[in-house]
Amino acid sequence: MDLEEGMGGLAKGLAIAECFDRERRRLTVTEAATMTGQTPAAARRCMRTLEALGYLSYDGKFFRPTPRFVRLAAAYTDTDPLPRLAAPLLDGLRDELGESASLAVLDGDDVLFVARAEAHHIVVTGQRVGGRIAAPLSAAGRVLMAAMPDEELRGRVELGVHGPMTEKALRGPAAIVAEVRAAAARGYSITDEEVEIGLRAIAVPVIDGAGRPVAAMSMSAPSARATVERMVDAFLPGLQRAAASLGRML
Amino acid sequence: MSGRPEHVDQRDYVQSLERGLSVILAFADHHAKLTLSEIAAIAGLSRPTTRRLLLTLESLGYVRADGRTFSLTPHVLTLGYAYLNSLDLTAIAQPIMERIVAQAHETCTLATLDGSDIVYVSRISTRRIGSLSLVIGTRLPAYASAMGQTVLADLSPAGLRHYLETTELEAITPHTIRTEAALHERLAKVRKRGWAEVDQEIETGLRSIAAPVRGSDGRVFAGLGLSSSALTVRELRERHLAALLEGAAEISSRLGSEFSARPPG
Repeated sequence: MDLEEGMGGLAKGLAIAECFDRERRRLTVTEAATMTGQTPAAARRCMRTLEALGYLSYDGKFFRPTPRFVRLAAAYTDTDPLPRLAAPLLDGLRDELGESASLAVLDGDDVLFVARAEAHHIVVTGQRVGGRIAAPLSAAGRVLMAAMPDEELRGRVELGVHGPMTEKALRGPAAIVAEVRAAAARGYSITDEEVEIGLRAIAVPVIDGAGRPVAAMSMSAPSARATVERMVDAFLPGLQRAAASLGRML
Repeated sequence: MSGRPEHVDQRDYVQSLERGLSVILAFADHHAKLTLSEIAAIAGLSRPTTRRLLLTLESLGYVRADGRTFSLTPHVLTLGYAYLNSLDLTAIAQPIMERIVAQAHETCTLATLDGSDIVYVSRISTRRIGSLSLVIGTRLPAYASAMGQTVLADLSPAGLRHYLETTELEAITPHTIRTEAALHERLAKVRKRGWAEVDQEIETGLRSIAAPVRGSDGRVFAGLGLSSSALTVRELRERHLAALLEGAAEISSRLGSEFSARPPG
């Protein structure tokens, strides 16, 4: 096999591994090929390889991920200081305020959640570790985009934003750019049932020693338990304190 | 990584995919930053091959280069993990596990079978309640662990045969089960009782009990374990088994209802 084709195989295989998520729990070869823009033959080879390596199981029609993917996730969570340093701070916020606390980073056009302390409620809200949302749609994404120059920000937002959105979501590039700039000035961003009806989130930036926003710390709660006022009065001071502590460690 | 498994046709095998994944896994044992040579040595690959793999992984966003060293980026979490987490297993299990730990003051672990090993999915220790996800991925031999035995006990005969063919029963402590006959006997007991107990089989001084967690298909896919270095097995059983069984049943039923509430796929 020639090497260039070989490296292409790596890219294709990883693209397929990324396809599985909350909405897509199993995929056929044809579905995976369509989602990743590959030929069915190429997708099939990648999926058979992932099956041979124990990452996917196959029932004759559908491929499903196995727990072996946890190994890859652990290779990251065990080695990156960011989630390790954040974990006790997120636990502290969760214990103090009784709602889930998360840490997210910018990953391409999305925010990616890298650490989380889960609240002790039957109704859980927000993204789990490994979950992602289009950055312009989320409170975490909006505080992370605050450092972007105008052109880059406008470019990202104008590309069009895809993802879950409710009728309460900010519409149009201008509104989102305005909120990103306003969030930078006030130091936090709130999504009020924009991603999901019944869910509110508040996020603050984590600023490293060089003054860059490297992550966003956020808390989410069902609207029934947290008004916008309560999020600002009760959650914001703790979030800002924890984010500042984390920033000092980076 | 050992290379292409024998039963897989060459034409169906993407070698760079296997090798790229082994490069990511090279970081797994707490190496935050590795040089090219270190990665090549850990992954068992040549330097030129490793370099090409790293450059590809960097261009795809999974690896960050910093001078002479390389590290993994959060983007690695997008590989299958979002799906695993979307099972809501950790989210469902965590509050239940914390409740058990608050009452028992012993460490509670949720683990699932992966090949010959069980792998930690979630763990709540008494020292730091709620510090999740940092020990995920810890691996233990299934036959020597109470959590592992709960999962093995529910395998199909063919599944168990395959497990035994691919697993070496090694003595980890003087109490570890070492023969297939003894393991069969133990698993029969686990099936009959509906839970497992292990007395210093995996670590001297450590005792555990475990209860099965079942998916919507009714099969056991994880074990919920409680382990202690202070209590005897009998004490663990008498004081905490009821709460552990109840917790495992609660996780199982919520997973089942969760799955049935959503369209398949």
